[in-house]
Parts: sequence; C-alpha cells; structure tokens
Amino acid sequence: MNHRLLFACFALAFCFPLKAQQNWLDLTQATFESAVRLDGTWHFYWQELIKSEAEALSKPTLVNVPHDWYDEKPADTAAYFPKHGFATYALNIILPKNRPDLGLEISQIFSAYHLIVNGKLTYQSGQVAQSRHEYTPYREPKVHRIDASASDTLRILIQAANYDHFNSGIHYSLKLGNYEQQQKGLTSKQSTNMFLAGGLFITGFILLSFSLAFRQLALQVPFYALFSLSLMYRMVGSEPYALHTLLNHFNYYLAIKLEYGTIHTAALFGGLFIFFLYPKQSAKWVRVVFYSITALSLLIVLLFPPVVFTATLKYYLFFIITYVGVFIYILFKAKMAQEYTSGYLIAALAIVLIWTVFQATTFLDYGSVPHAFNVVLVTGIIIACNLALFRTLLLKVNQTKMAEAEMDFQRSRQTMLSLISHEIKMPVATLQMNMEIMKASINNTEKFDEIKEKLIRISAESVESIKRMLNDFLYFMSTKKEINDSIAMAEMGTFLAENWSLKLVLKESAQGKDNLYLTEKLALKYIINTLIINAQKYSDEQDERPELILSQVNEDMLLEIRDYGIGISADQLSNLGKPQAKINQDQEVSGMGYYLANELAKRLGHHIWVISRGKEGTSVFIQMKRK
Amino acid sequence: MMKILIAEDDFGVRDTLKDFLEFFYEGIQIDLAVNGQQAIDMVNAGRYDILITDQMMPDMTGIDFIQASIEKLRSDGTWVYVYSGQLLEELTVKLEGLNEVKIIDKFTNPMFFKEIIDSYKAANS
Repeated sequence: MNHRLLFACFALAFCFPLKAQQNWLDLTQATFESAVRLDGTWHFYWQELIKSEAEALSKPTLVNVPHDWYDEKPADTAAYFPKHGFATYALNIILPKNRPDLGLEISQIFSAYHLIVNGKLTYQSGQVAQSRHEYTPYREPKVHRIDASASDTLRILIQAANYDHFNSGIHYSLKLGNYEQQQKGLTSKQSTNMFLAGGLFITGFILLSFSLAFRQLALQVPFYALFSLSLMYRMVGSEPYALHTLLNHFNYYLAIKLEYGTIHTAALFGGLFIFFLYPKQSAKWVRVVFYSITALSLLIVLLFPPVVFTATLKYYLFFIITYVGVFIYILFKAKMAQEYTSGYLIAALAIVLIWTVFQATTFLDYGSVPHAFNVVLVTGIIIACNLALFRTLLLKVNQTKMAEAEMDFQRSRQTMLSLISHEIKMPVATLQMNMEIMKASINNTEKFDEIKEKLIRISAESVESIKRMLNDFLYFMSTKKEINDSIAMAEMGTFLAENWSLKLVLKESAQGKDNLYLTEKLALKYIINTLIINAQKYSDEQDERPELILSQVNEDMLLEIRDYGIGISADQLSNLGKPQAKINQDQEVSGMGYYLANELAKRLGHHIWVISRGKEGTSVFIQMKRK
Repeated sequence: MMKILIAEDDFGVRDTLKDFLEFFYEGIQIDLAVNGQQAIDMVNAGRYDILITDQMMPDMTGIDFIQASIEKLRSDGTWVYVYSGQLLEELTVKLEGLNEVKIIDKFTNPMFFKEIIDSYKAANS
C-alpha cells in the first residue's frame, strides 16, 4: 500500500504521460477513453521463465520498455544482454475501481511470448523455451481481455524468447485500454488493410492479365502489376498482420521471408516501372546499382535465416530512401524533357514515394505514421495508379487495334492485288497468243480461217476483262480505310433508283423510315454494281431482269439483288468469298468480283451472303447495320 | 504423237492455249481439264508427255493436284509445268520437294510454250 501511495504522488508530480516506474504503473486516474501505453521501467529476469516474481531466483534488472533487451545491461556488469535467449518481464499496474473491461494490445514480442496475468497463463504466442530447439516463434497482433472483475492490481508477467530476430523482447509499446475499442481498432485496421489488398490485387491481376493478352504492351504494365501485387502482400502480411490472424497458424519462417521479400520485390518492380517508363532519363549506372543492391539484399532474404536479414534490412531501407530521391529526379527530368506523363501517374508516383519514406522511417523506428494516414496514402496510390494505367492501357489497346486494322487492310489489299495480278495475266496471255497466231497466219491461212472468228471474239472479251480489272485495281488502290459516311433508308431507295435502271421493290418495313446506316457511298456503289453486273451476266435475254428489293429486318437494312439466271451450284456456293474462287464458264457469280465486293463490304461492316433459288436463279443479300 | 494435258479452269485461256499450240504444231494431242479433280482423273487414266497446269483453280491448287499425282507423273516421265499470278518466290516455297516441277513465270510470253515443246522434242529425238 505504501508503494501505491508513493507512486501516486510520483505520478501526480510528473503528470502525464504516465510512465511505469520501478515496475509499478498507477492508472487509478485513467479513464481509458484512449489506450495507455505501458512504457517505462519494468523488471527483467534474464534467463528465467517465472510465473510470479516470488519464484525468481535472481534479483531483477530494471529495463526500459519498449526496448530491445540487448540494448540493456545488468546493473552489476558492463556487458549487455545477448540478442538471443529467454527472459521474463514483470510490471504491476494499479487500476481504478470503476473501469470497463480492459484489453491489453500486444502487436508482437520478439519472437515468442507467454502472457501471465495475476499468476494465470492467459495467452501463448508460439512456444517460449530455454533452448532454440524447444522454442517456436510466432507473431500475431492480439488484444487480450482483462475482465472488469479482476483485481485492482494487475501483475503482468511476460515470458519471452528469441533465437531468430534481430530485435528481441518487447520492442513495441504494449497498450492497455477499453477492450471493445482496442479490439475494434485492431479489427478495423486489419479489415482496412484487407480491403486495400483487394484493390491492389485486382489492379495487379487485371494488369498482368492484360499484359499477357496483349503481349506487345510495354513492359511497364506487368512491372506495375507485380509492384501492385507485392504491395498487396505487404498490406496483409505485415503490421497489423491480417493474414496471420486469418490463417491462425501461419508458418513463422515462411511468413517472415514473404514479409521481408515483398519489400524487395515492391522496390524492384517499382524501380523497373520507373526505369522502363523513362529510359532516357535513367542512367545506366543508376539502374545497375539499383538492380545489384536489390538483388543482393533479396538473395540474403531468400538464402539466409531471419536473424541475418532482419539485421541487414535497415541498410537496404536507407538505400531505398536514397533511391526515392533518385526516382523523383528521374521524374523531374522526364517532365522537363516533355516525355509523355499522365497527371495521374505523377500524382501516383508522388504518393508512392511519400508512402515509401514513411514505411521506411516507421520500420527504422524514427517515428510512426498514423494508420489512417497510411490508409489514405495507399488508397491514393490505388486510385491514381489505376486511373493512369487504365488510361495508358486504353491508349495501347487502341494502338494495337489500329495496328491490327492496318495489317488487315494491307493483307486484304495484298490479296486483292495478287488476285487481280493473276487474273489480268490470263487475258493478256490470251491476246499475246492470238497475236502470235495472227503473225504466223501468213504461212497457214487455211488453219487461221478456221479459228479466226473465235480468235476475234476471245480477243474482244479479253480486252473487256482487262478494262474491268484495271478499274478494280484503280478502285482498290484508292480506297480509304476510314468509314465516316452514312445513308438513310429513304436515301438508299433514291440511290438505287438513280444508279441502276432495275425494278426497285420497297418493302413495307422500309417505307417511312429515317434510320441512318454507316457506309461509304462510293464503295457501296462499287459493291452493288459488281453484284448487279454478275446478276446480269448470268441472266439470259429471255430471263426476267434482275430486281432490287429493299427492306428493314429488325434494325438492319437489307438489300436483295435477285436474278432469274442459271443459278449457282452447291460447290460454287461453298467456295464463294475465297480468293481462288473464279468464274466458271457455266456457273453464275464471278468469283473474283464477288470476293472483292465481299472484302470491301466486310471493311464497311456490311454482311453479304448468297442464296441459290435453284433453277429460279440466285439472290445476293447485303445487310447494313444501323448507325 | 506427243500428248499434252492442260489443266485450266478459265475457258478463254484454256481454249486459246489449245488453239495456239495446235496452230504451230502438227502431230500433237492436247487434252483439257477444267479443274484439279478432272486433271487427276486424266493423269491416272493415261500417259502425258507434258503437263501444264494453272496454280489457282476453284477446287484445288495446281500444286495440290501435282502432289496427288506425282508418283504417276514421275513413273510416266511427264514434264510438269505450273503457272500463276503469284510471285515466283511464293510459288517456289510451295514447290519444295517437287524438284521436277518447273514454274512458268513468263506466262504473258506465249512463245515460252513453244520452247517447252521444242525442248521436249529435242530431248526425245
């Protein structure tokens, strides 16, 4: 009781913040509206695992909490405690009579601990033991409930053991506060981080999928995706360790390698992203140094035990903070050189750099950033980066589509030219042969007379054929690939009537409609003309003349070119539209003419198909989509 | 009598080429095939000294037809020629493995057909 009185006076004298002194902390005046840190001087029993101070075999040492125990030394010696070993911390807390259910929040104690409250083992995080062989490290933030009905004096003992980590013992503050608030606070932090991880996962996953689907996309995209996925893991696999809570028994060694490894992969892919985004502004030596140091540090994480890489990480963090400056410089130079930079991207990079500095300074114990601020920064990163990258992606996808369209256009033109070239050789060769026969006819007039008429007829046909092909050739060489014209239903009727003196049937569905249809009138004229020439060519004089039938089916315009000619066979029908389909002497529809018309129609977004009506003739349909 | 087979789907070219060769040569028999399948049937049914085929036919390419009949053409010792509007390199690639097949790349010079017949006659005289 004397102790209590003494300590109360002491506390009042120094007011707040309350600090534990000589193993005692008086919280009788605390309201617990906000959590109280249990910082101050605690009793420390080196190499003793006790359940009450009465069991101690040696006198306690007073150590500062939070602090690594290896920074402390026993009062009677000059030597510091070693990093690895086991010990028990002890603190007595005097609580107010009226208090809510209290919660003791322990984020982590290196590297395993048992919590004993008033002589009762309350919680085990891993297994504390006197040898490395017997102990099991574990980490999971936890709020331990202390009932309101418990004694007004809390005797807290924490047994701790560490054989794996650079830090040892109680490195972070323990907090005592309202249980509901403490628990809600921790759950809220973990849930928020899970939510942010989800955002980063979706970003990373989608961008990675896009970059695999569109392999010609710049490498910045997959690099950013991997950066995002690394950050995602950091959100759940580091403080406040949502993943550890979720998995309950997450293997310590795997978890710590992932936790430290993703610091490196985030830095590596973030760096690659910036270097590939601004290659001209990234000097080679800057890149080489960055890659080398990052790879080396990552290898240490992968190949060495935690005790090594938890010690070396701080040097890598200093290196990263330095490189944050380099990245800002690269960005600045790129802006000066008027490189393409999205405003979103600059904003995102700026936030990433601020966040990185804060993360590093927190890790290095130079200060701590409030969780809410951290959440705001990561949310900013997700939003700004996604806006920037989706904008870039859209540009890239458009470019890809345009390139593909251009390739299609060129391929189509090449096929047409190849066809025309092949077709035009035939009448030219025919004319040449006829000329040679005529030249030689002086010596063989009798034989010449036999074939003279046929020779003249075939020559005339060849000339007509050459004229038509030249016309096709010139037309296709001059066609543009952009389509920005349109035609209305009523206008189409006039267009057909003005250009072809054929019977025009306007179906009821096409009357009084003012819908617009995307097309290119000159190309459309060529297509219809080609199909009408075919229809006329294969209709005999005694046959009924071809007719045009215009209708609207659903929202589409449908033009039927109906002839009453010799018809088309099933074989010919299946070959239509193929480059090698050609005129057959006794069959309807010119293969090449139809092929060219069909290719052109496809480019306009129209659909052409042919239906054989047997001996009654053939119908060719052109379907045009509504604008 | 020298037997020649012309495989060509274009009536004008097919008929003119026949007239052309018959105008200059006595004692040759020219058979005509209007597509690839008919040409295969005719090669299987008889022996030809010279085969001239178009590459682009509606039912199959000239090379497809030659590949389908190559054993028979080889055993008959037929001289095989193919012509097309395609580029020479393009056609050469397609003809890999068919060394005996020659490409007529001067189709617009009909005197080349005369040279083929003269060469065959000289080789077999």
